[in-house]
Amino acid sequence: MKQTDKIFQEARHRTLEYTTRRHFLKECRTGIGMMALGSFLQGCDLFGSKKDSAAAAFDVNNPLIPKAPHFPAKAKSVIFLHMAGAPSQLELFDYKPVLQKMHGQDCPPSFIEGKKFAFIRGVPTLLGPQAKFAQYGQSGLWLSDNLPHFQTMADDVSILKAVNTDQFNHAPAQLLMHTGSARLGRPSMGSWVTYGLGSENSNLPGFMVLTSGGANPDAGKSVWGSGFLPSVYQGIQCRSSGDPVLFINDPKGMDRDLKKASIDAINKVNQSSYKEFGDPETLSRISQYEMAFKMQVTVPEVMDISDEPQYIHDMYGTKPGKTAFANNALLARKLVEKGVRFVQLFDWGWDMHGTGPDGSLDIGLINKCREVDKAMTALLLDLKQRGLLEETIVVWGGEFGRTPMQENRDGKQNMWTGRDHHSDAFSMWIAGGGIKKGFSHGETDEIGYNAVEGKVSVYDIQATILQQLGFDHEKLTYEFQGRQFRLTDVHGKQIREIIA
Amino acid sequence: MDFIGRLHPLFVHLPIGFLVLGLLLYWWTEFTNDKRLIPALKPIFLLGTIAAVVSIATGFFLSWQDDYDEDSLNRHRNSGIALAVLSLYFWFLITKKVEGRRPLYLSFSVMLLLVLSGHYGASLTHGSGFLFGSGPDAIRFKPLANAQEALAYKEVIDPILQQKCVSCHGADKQKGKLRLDSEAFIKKGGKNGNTVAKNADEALMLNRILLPPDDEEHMPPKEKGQLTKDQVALIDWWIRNGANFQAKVKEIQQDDQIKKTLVKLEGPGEADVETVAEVLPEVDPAPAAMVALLKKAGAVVVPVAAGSALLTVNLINLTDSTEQTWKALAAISEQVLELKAEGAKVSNATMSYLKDMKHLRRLSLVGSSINDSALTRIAALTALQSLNLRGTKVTGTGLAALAPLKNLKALYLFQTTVDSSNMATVKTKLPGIQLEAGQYQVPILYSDTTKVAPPKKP
Repeated sequence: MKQTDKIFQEARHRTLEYTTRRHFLKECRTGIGMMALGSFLQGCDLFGSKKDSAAAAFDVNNPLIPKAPHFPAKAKSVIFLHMAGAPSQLELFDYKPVLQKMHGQDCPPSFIEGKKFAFIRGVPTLLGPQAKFAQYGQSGLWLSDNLPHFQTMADDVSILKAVNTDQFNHAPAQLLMHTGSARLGRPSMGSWVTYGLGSENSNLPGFMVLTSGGANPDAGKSVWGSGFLPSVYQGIQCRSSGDPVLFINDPKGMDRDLKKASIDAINKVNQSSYKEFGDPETLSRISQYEMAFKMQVTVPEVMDISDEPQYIHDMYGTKPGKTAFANNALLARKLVEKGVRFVQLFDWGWDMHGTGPDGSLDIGLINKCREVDKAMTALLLDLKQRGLLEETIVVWGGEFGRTPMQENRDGKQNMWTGRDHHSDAFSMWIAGGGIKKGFSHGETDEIGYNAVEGKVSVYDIQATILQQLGFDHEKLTYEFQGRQFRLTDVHGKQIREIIA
Repeated sequence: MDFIGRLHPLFVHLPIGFLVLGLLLYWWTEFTNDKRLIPALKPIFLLGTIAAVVSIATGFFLSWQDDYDEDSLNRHRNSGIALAVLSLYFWFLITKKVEGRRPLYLSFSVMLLLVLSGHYGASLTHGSGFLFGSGPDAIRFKPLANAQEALAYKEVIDPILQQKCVSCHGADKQKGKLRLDSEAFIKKGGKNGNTVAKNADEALMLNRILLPPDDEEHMPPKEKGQLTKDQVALIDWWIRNGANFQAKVKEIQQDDQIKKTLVKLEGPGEADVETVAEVLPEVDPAPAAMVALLKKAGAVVVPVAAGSALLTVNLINLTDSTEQTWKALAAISEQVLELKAEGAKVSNATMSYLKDMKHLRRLSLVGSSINDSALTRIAALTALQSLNLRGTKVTGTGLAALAPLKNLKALYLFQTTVDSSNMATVKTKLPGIQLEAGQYQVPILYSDTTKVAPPKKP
């Protein structure tokens, strides 16, 4: 049989499927039953979600329409600065003089018995802080000399010193941090937020992602994926050099009118397909086409940092024409200013195991700090002077922390100073959006191994961010596979201590 | 025997159900002259009477096995018996088809007794003030302003005892000859000995509280309201540190754990998300036609919270800034809580449409073409807490007009003529307001432009 005949036959078969009696009966057998059951259950409103959840008013025709949260919000947007690879809290925020004294001693067995590490085997030795610490600001927060610019921001941020996660490998830990599950398939925080709040700027997506450091995070694009939420809520990754979005420019010979005409035509086909089958994803697709068309104009505009004055460039330390964290930080400010809800920045390369100079605490980590320190400080100050910090939450951290022990890969001491992955306690900071200023929450034990006070989980951070945006994290739900899902699943408590 | 007694709480609800149903049906037939239901009354009241008798019988069994307050018990028993007798009599009148006023009056008495005996019974189990919120179960802990400054006994321990202990160990009842409602009584102790002895392990109060709930001697008794973990921790802390009746919290030794428990006394738990949220003014819903008009013009108009009539308005997408749009905005003045009116389309002239926004808390006029003459209009927005004038032509002298804004906390002046040279004068005119003129600089350090190089291989 010829290839074309096959195609025609399949097409005929498909058409028949929609019209034949046999197909009708087959589908109805379960279909009508499910429909009836569905309407019963819906009538019952088993989960009480319909009336409670603001987000339940999800409009398939206009999924990004701005919506009200559960209660008045303290913050309107979020900038999440993720240092992919997990920076060492012991060289940045968590000062442990006792660990310095115990430097070189064998790790007490109580810490390693029954524990699993990514690379440490046998009995490792303790590694004292590889940085100098001092207290800064009125608040007297302890910060290391690896972040000389950030030291001046001590009175503007809240540091969480006892964050806890249950994953010690990069990809699952990153997924947990951003999607509330260590496994693939859940919507990311930014998707939940855009699903709940919509997008204020009708010409820009509500959730945008920028990466730097030479690689995407280990967990891949799933950390800004929309999971089972309609795909219109997924994060849009932009590049800070070259075309901001791949294929955003029209191909040669295609002008904007022709583009509009073709999108209109495609949407018309989609409309009639929606009328026939009623699949909400079709509508989602229509709005995506429209958004993409608008983005062709707005995104290159907003992603162009060359229109910023020189003093702003100096402040951030941008590197025009290159991919750099500093450029992304400036872009994050521009996006938030334009009404984007959630901006995720990933900076890759913080995984200091001590396997080489670039992966060591006394060379690699210091160089990574130098790449971000000025820019993240500038970001906070720039948001502050624009009045945006009071309505924007800025979060900084990695997916987990580092061990107080020198890594001994396969039982042999690594050549360079380095620490293994550590999930029991690590540090992050949060600023703006109604979060306390100049505050430290949580304490670790004397060597920085376990949380002894103010322990918070990744879910607690997620719950707190949602809370500041006006959501009860237990009520921002989406029904999928027969149950209501939420970002924090069955966990999470807002961290009241850091709320101003 | 005990078992039969324990059935009492189950049986008592039967006569209530039967009799209320019967009375309602009876009144229905009386007041509507709808006689079809009369035959149903006989069996209902017979059943009600039987159930009442069974309840009384089980009630006697229960009263023998537990130590109830004599007075309340008598009241409950007598009203219960009277109820059974009257309902029997009522059943008799119905069966004899007695007409006239007598059954009607009787029906009201039955209802009254039903309510009374039910209420007395509930008072026995829940404590006497339960219904009107003055009783122990209804005591709401008032959050302390500062837990460390509070009096340890009077403001921390006593409220717990009042809520959980005093109903049996107080002025009304003194089980085990113990009262816990004042310092003198607590010190005196009960028939079994000291309550708060010097040696914490001898302090019976703590001892009984810490016994496992299954223990015969555990306090409060298993069937009564239990102390929460935090309450146990607080009592434990207070007694072990000498049960000081005069000291303030901060004068008693504390470890980290108890410090955290004490902090909780200062505010609502995290579950009370709603109560944490600030109180917002109540307003009528905005006129829907005006909201629709604004939306059509490209404005973002969203309630500040689901179900709230207050609105957040953002003109970021505004495509139609004709007078009609501005009039629509003025028409929802009362409802606007937050407004972002940024960009060149906003001018001195358009400010007149904002003048009635009496609930407006946050206003951003970034990059608008307003100047000092708009500030007098803004000064009328008395609820304003945050005002962003970045990138406008306002001047240091003009800003003095904002002095009447008593609620204003933050004022953003970046990219205006206000800078470090005239900031001090603005500050004296607007005391107490956090002024933000920006112009931050982040210096370039040696480390910003260099990298640490790995040591060269020998």
